[in-house]
Amino acid sequence: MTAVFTEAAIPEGLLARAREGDHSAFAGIVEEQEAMVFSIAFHFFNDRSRAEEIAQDAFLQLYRSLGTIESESHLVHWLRQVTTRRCIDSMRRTRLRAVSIDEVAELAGPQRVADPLLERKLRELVAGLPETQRLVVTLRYQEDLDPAEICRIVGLPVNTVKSHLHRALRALRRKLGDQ
Amino acid sequence: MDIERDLNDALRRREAPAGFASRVMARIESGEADAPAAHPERKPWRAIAAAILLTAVLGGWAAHQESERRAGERARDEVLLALRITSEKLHEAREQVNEIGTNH
Repeated sequence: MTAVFTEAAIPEGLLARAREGDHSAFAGIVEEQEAMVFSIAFHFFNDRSRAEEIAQDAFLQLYRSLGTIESESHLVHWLRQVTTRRCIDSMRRTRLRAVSIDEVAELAGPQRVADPLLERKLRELVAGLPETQRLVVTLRYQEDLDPAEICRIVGLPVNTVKSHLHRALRALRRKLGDQ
Repeated sequence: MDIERDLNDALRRREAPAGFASRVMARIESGEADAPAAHPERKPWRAIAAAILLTAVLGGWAAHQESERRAGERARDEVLLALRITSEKLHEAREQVNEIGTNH
């Protein structure tokens, strides 16, 4: 089963209610956006518990910042930006823990394609990319964002984003070819 | 092999772990998310305490400087007075020497 995610799948009025202190409305926002936030962190670290920790902290930060969120689309952009920053901060604070192939196998969710081994290998290779390339690749292929949208989230010029993408794809192709 | 399509598949969104939203809400309801804003009154008190301390330190420093200045002035006055007395005594001695010289 593969969930289909839309850009800002937040029901109308939920944000306004959450801003007024309605906890059930905020819980609704968390439920709508948790897969996006969790997946960015998961694809960055290839580590479920670390991804959950970062995702929870991002939502707590959102709760504290609700007054600054202008719209549903701003909320989605804000969450992507805060999650990517938290990933980088967390990465810099601690050494990246190596993830075994067995652990990655345990993570695999419902499969959509016929080659789960290739998917697993790709996730491992992506998790081994330099941090900026990893974020750019995750935002491009998980969130389906174009370089102009990615540059607004990671705060880099669009040509730099394109260059990171290009280098990441070249490295991934080369590493897959070496297997 | 189309690596971009494969990346789309490999990096598709994952469901968050079961109970994720409940755990977030539990942290919020425990007041964890309010922590930074829960004690806003502490900040003004800290600022006031810091201002009082700074005033005391600066006041003490200024009083010390003033005391030093006054002590310096007193010492200078005493030296000037001593010089004046010495000068008068010398003058008197010279007068007496001149007087003795005139009488002889």
